[in-house]
Amino acid sequence: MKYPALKLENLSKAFGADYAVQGINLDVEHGETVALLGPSGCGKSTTLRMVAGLEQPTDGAIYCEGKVIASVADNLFCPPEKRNIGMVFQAYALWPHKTAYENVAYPLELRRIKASVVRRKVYESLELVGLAGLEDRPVPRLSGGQQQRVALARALVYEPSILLLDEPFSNLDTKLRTQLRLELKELQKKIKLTTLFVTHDQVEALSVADRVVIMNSGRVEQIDAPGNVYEKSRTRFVRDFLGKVITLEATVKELPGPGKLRLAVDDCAGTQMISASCRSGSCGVGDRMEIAIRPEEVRVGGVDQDLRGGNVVEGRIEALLYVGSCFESKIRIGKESVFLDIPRSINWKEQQPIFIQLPESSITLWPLEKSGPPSAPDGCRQSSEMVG
Amino acid sequence: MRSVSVSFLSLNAWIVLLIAVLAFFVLYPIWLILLNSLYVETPEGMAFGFSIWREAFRQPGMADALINTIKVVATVQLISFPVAIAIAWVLARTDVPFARWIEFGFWASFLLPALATTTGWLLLLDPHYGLINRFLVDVGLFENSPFTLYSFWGIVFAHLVSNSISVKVMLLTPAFRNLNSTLEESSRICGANGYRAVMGIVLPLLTPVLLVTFLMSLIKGLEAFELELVLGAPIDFQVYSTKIYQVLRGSPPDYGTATVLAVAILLLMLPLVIFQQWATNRRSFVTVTGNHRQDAICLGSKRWPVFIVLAVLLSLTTVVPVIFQFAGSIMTLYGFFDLPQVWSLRHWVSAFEDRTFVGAFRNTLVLGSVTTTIGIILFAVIAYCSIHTRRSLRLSLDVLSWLPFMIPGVILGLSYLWFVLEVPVLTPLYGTMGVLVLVSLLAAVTLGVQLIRSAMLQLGADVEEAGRVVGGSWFRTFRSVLLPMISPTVAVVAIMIFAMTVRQVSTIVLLSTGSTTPLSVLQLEFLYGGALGPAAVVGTVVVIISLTAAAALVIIASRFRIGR
Repeated sequence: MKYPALKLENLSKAFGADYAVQGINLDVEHGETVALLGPSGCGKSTTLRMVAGLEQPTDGAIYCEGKVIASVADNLFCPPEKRNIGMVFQAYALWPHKTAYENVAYPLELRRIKASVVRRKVYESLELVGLAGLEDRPVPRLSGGQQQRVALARALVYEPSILLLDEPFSNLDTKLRTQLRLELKELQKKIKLTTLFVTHDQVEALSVADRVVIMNSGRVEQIDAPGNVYEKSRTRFVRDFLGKVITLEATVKELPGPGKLRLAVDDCAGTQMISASCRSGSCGVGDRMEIAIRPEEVRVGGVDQDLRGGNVVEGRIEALLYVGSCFESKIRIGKESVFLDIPRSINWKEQQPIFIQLPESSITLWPLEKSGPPSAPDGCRQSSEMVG
Repeated sequence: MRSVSVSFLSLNAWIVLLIAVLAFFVLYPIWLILLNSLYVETPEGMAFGFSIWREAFRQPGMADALINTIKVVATVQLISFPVAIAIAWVLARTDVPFARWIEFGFWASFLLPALATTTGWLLLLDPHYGLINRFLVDVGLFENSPFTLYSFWGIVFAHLVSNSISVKVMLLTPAFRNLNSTLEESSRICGANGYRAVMGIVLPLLTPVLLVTFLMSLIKGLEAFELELVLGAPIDFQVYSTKIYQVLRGSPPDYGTATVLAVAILLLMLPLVIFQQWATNRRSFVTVTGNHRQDAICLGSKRWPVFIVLAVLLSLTTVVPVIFQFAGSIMTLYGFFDLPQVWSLRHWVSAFEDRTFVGAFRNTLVLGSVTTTIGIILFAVIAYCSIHTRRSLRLSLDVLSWLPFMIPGVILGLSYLWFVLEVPVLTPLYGTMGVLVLVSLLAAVTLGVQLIRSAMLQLGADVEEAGRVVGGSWFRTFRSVLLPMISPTVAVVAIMIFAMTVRQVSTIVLLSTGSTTPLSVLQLEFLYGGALGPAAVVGTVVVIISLTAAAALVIIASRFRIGR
């Protein structure tokens, strides 16, 4: 039987009465890159540190290649130095009293490897991360990006079974971040190392990982491929945490066919019904629903424009900001306001009506409680708001 | 940093004056002992020569005193340093229970007078009646008392349980705490076990701090006086400081030999001081990394055993000696448990009926409070001036406020003896509290200025500038903006000065006379004269004063989160 490279089984960590991580189950396959993504305080870093052996779990077990490395039930805890895991720390944790070469050589020296082999491996490793020629630089005299690469070389040089990355790009500027993201992806293709990394940056998670684990308050919300977590979010938290989303409260008016619904957006007079399909569950006429759609999926038009295909709601532009590439706008639809970037090809004016088309295939429906939550007086909902 | 004074000239003129006064009080006394060791009487009048030096080294025991000094200092430091490193690491980096309380315990231990600790331990380890010795003989493990404090190792032990370990724990724990913990964690991940991570990464990273602390401890170790006097005298074990005390107590007092010893020690210290300064000014690695994340290392099942070891070590330096000193003070005869009446208050009663004791009690309080009051104002002024002046003047101020720290107490006292006797204006000070206050101020100036200065530097110039901009005068701004903002630090410094002044012996022992003797010197005299019961009473009173100060320190420090 082939074991997963890493297996977390009902893993929990409590600090006193508070759970930082609560019952996580995860299998990471060989060569797979998995991202732990979530807001700060969601327990992703604690999870990573438990895998590294820097924290002891209070419940559950961790297996590496089928071998137990931590198990609360068996009172077993393998210290970090015996796990053969590589890790890149958020602030790199390079030793400032050593040069780049010495930093990378240290793990090999600890393993009592012959000096000539150490030399060869360190050079190979530094070359792999693109740092050949900077071996003798003291670490404090390297740039942020270079330090990051040294940290990566140090984590890779002893061929660990798993690579852990803790917010690997958060200390870099945007440009360098994009570049190193690409490089990491390339490197992953080359060396095919099982990787678990923690990030609060969704672009990082979605672009680098094969699978993304979305965490919230110590629990897993969804484990899926990047495309699925974004397009087929299973919980409101995941939907709202990833990217932007427009939500409108509506009531089911008709059931034209199996799995088909027609809804009216609340208090939105004078617009046609919205067609949508109900993926699961049963719903009846009069049920209240939340219509959710990613802003990049909607099309907008002015009064004189024809939005073919229907499914259009009417709104009014409340505020308009010119930001160069487009307008940022606040649009009132019924009781609610949504934020939307609208193209600058149309000469928009504040207070002007605007038509928004919601393509049926892009709509997801989220049942509201029967009574329906009372809306705030101005009905303003930010698309990035987190709903638990 | 820009000055916010009315004009640069006037402030700098005042600073030059301050430097001149400080230099007079710091450098001139030292210059005097150097001069006096070389200034000899010849038939043709006074001349320079080495006859005093030749004379001094012809005396028996001189070379021994210098060698013993080095032996004691080296042994104490070599033992206390690794122990303190281990304790500091555990306190700062692991999840040992009650780490904060243990750390405060070591602060309290630092504030406890060494004589008090020793008096307490004498009841346990005296060769004749020490409880531990008697127990070991009674149960038949030994035929004769195995331990004695009156020995070289006894002196070393007394140093270890008084301040040597605790002061280093105080200095090193924050250093370990400030070290980015991921540096240690990353070495664990790379395959180093806990011990190798500390030895291979943590200690090399902290080398600059450790080196500075070690050199400073060596320098301060040369101050040792009272323990050697009390424990070494009965076995004729002399170090240079007790030798100075001894030759000055002889009749006639041998000032020549005393000055020669003092100068010899100062020369011996010179390379240490230079090395220490060089090490201090070197760039430290520790500051290089930002983004500190502190995660305590799990000790797991070793958590409570480690705690117990620490608690035992701490109690050996605090609770145990304090309790036994108190026990000794209420015994009819110190150390004798087989008398018909073991316990009595007779030492306490006679102490409070004794004019000497009551006078010493008053002297201690006067010395402590006057030194503290003048000290705080003076040190704040020096600190303020050193921040707000140009580089050259600042350098002189820093050197002058730092130099007294390096001069061993007995030598400082000796130099002030010359100083007040040779400078006509100051001669009336001889035999008064004034001269004691002067040397106590010098003994505290380094620490006081350092602490206040760093608190002022943290504020930055802009709060003060803002005070001026909104229309306050300089004095008003200083009083209503600066002073309240640094008042927690000032309170801590005040308590430290008070506690240090109350327990000091070596700086004032040569200067105090019958009517100005404080409790600390009184305890030394009792111990030196073998009157252990009265010594225990005096020691207990000093401990109560010190512990009250320590308690105040803990409360203020925890309320304002100083030192974390």
